[in-house]
Amino acid sequence: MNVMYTEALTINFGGLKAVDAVDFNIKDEVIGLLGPNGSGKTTFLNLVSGIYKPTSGRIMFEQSDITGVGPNVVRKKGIARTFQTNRLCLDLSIIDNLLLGLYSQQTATWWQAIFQPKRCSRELSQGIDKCLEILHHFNPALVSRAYEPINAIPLIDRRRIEIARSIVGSPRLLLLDEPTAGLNAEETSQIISDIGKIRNGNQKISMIIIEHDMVVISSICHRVVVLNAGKKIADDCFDEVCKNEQVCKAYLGG
Amino acid sequence: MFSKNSVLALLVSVVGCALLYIALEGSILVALAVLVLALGLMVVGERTGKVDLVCRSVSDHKRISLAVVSVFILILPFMISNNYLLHVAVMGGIYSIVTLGLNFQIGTGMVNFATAAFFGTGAYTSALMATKFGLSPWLTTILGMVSAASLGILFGFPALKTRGYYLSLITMSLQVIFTLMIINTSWLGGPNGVPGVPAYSIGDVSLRMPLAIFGLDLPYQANYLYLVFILLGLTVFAALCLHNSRTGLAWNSIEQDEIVAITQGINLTKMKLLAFALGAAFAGLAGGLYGHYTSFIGVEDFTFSKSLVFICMVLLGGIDNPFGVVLGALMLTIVDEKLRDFADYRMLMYSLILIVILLLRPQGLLPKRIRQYQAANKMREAKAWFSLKGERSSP
Amino acid sequence: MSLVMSQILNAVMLGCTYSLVAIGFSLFFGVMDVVVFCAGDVAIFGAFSILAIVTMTVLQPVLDTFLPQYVTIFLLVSFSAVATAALMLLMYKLVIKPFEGKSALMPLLSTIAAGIALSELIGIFYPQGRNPQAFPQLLSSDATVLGGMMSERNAIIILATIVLVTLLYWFVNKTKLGLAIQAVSQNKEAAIMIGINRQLSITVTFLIGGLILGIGGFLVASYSNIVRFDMGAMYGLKGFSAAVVGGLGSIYGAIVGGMIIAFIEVFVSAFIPGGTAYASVAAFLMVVVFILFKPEGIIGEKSVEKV
Repeated sequence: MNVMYTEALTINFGGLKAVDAVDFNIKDEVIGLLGPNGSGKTTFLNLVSGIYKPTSGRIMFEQSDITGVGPNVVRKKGIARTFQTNRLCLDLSIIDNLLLGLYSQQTATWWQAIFQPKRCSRELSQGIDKCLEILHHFNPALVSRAYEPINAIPLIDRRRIEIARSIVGSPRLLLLDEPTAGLNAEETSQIISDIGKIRNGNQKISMIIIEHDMVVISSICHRVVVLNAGKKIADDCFDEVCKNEQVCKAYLGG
Repeated sequence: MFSKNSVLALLVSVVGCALLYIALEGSILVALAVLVLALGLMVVGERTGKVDLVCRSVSDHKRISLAVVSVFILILPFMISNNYLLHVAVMGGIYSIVTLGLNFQIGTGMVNFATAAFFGTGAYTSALMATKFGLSPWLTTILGMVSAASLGILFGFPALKTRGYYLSLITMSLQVIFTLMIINTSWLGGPNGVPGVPAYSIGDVSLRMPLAIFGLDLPYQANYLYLVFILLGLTVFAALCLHNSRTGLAWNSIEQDEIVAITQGINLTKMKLLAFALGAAFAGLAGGLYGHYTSFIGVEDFTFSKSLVFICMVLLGGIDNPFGVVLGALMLTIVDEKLRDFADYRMLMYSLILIVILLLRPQGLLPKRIRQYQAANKMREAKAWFSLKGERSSP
Repeated sequence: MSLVMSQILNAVMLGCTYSLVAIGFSLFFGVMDVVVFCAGDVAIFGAFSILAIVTMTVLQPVLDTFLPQYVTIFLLVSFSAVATAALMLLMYKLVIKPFEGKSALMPLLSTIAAGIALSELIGIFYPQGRNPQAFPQLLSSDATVLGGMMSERNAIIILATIVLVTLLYWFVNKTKLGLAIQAVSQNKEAAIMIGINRQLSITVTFLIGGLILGIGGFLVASYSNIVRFDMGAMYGLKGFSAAVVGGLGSIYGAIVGGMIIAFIEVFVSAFIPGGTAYASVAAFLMVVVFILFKPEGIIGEKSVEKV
């Protein structure tokens, strides 16, 4: 059954159709989203995560219509994402950044924070345990640095923390926007194995990954969707997509 | 018996109180010297890493510090040489409550130049309700908080659509509009203010009567000192709870990156309005206290420059550190009241202090700290946990 | 002459004074992306510098006899404009440059503080500086031009603004330095990359902005006949509002914004009973509404945040 699907999803920026009538569906699987620069991959993720409102079309997530709702509601429903450029709160500690990922799961209100501190601290320490566990999963060395600000952490670990932040709240669908951008080959393979570990550990999580590295795509994606100029031009397993004429054209500009 | 840390916590609290006392009792030069000394101690402490140790011991032994501060406040009226200085301490407490509220907004990345309007709303609502309708000051203070919070929500709406300079300009405009509306509305006292604001009373005893304890007659300011500092204690507690809760975290994340915040499921509208409403309620509470304490309120206490003074206090103390902003408010109130004889130089001094802080120490006297969730315990837990699992996995 | 006509002229004049400050704000915001809040106080400092010279008894005979009146005025205004330009440069070095690349809050606060410090220094050191000072009637408001349509003073205010804006237009669009300043405003990195001296552009912008502010201060003091040491804060706030309403960073927007604010103020005062007290309230309410519904201003590009 589809976890998420879109019907004729379209967004116009001025006259430009950045995403043009895209029908997309994802089941319990990992999908690689490919396409040359400017083909609308990130825009597509921004639409799904609610940052942009579509001009037309529909987004369905687990039987409910999430077209046009705000990013915070989308996150509460169970779609988490990472960003192309690392977006962590630099002044906050690792643990605070991870706790942010749990925000949508927690329920303590400001009122309870003041008048029921016991209840809140219970929720908080459960949250901290969960965060530390995830952190340990990604890089055990970071656990002892959990109370250090992100400023002091190297890039690869920041990536890990960002991915950890997106999965700590147990989302049903994870959108990864170029998780390996700016990393070298060795770091890339580390991140990819980390992402693989998420799937192995928790089968109930579907992923859409934007990635330029074909080795990465072929190694972890069950299916590949290719966008060009906002349109979907291919949707198949990796080997088939590689043979697709339109895809070769789009990439090589032929 | 007493661990090294508990002694340290005791020592730090005593020294802190003593420094504040010296600043309060001394001349303007002494007060400024204390300010510089405090700054110097902080810088040295940071260089040598002692600050972390001190903070940890204080947060591990909160009760000791709380006891020291309570005793200090309790005996302050006995130690102080004249009533005017007691008045300064009361004002410091009132302004501290305002800055705690303002800190919610600044911690959310919204620099609000209309704090004095919230302060004024509390003061005017409370004073007018009490003078015109004869309601109990306790009740009117709560009404003042509610009306200030409502105004806070109203003034907060622009923050949903704009940021940065634009938001600053809007809050400045609203502050100016507030002042002009007060001046132009005769029912609100116009430029003449509201005289004869009644004092609080407990039973039949007005707080504006001298307080007799142990055969000593304390001036009536002592009543207000105790009242204001009890309320300050409660608001500091509330501010700390909020700071360490997911609400405070959400505010900080909005300050850092709104897109990140919203994609983590944070409702920006709700959280921003909450920061305005709660902050304004704090300011409204302080406003009510102010009116019923001084018995007169006038529009010049609630102008744009007062808003700027509040921002100055938060900045001097340290943005997003509740203890810092209280310290900043107390220190600046002391220095300001010392300059009463040189009234012409007050705003000049504020502006110069502001520039100097911005240039030399933008993080303030007590900079914001990484949240330590029950710091030491958690840290130990994390380390134990790490050593338990550490050996079996290496990526 | 009809009431409406005279009020329109009045509004245009007030608009000219606001526009000049707004242009200052826009210029500074363009090159540095900071709001230089002390602009209003710098302008008022300029007015006080003229006041100081005119009231200096030593210079009185020189002022009275030697030179034709217009030459005197020109020299006085030039002097104050140079003084404000130098002051603006000093402000840049002291309270703006140190905060480059830091949070936008810091230069905002530091320039507000610098503005207050400046006005307080005037209040403290100028003789009886805290009292309103009568500003000398260098421009006669009795003599009229255009067949009694407007006083000579008003005509000169409007004319001076037009000349200034034309000169500024010429400088920004026709000279190499002006084009460099535009380039820095539009894209800092690209401008540096093609070899533009950014520091020079900034320095020149602050000098020119200072000159304009000095003239603006003279005009606003002439318009209202008195100067007060703390007038700058309100004058600056209105100028900033004008710049935002017009579109922060745009010179033409600044003029349009200044006129809009002036028209609202003048018309609310003149045509709404009891409106005088609420003129500023109306202007600021308009600013709030404007920022909420058209934050990019009348002339300005909508910026889209990239995710």
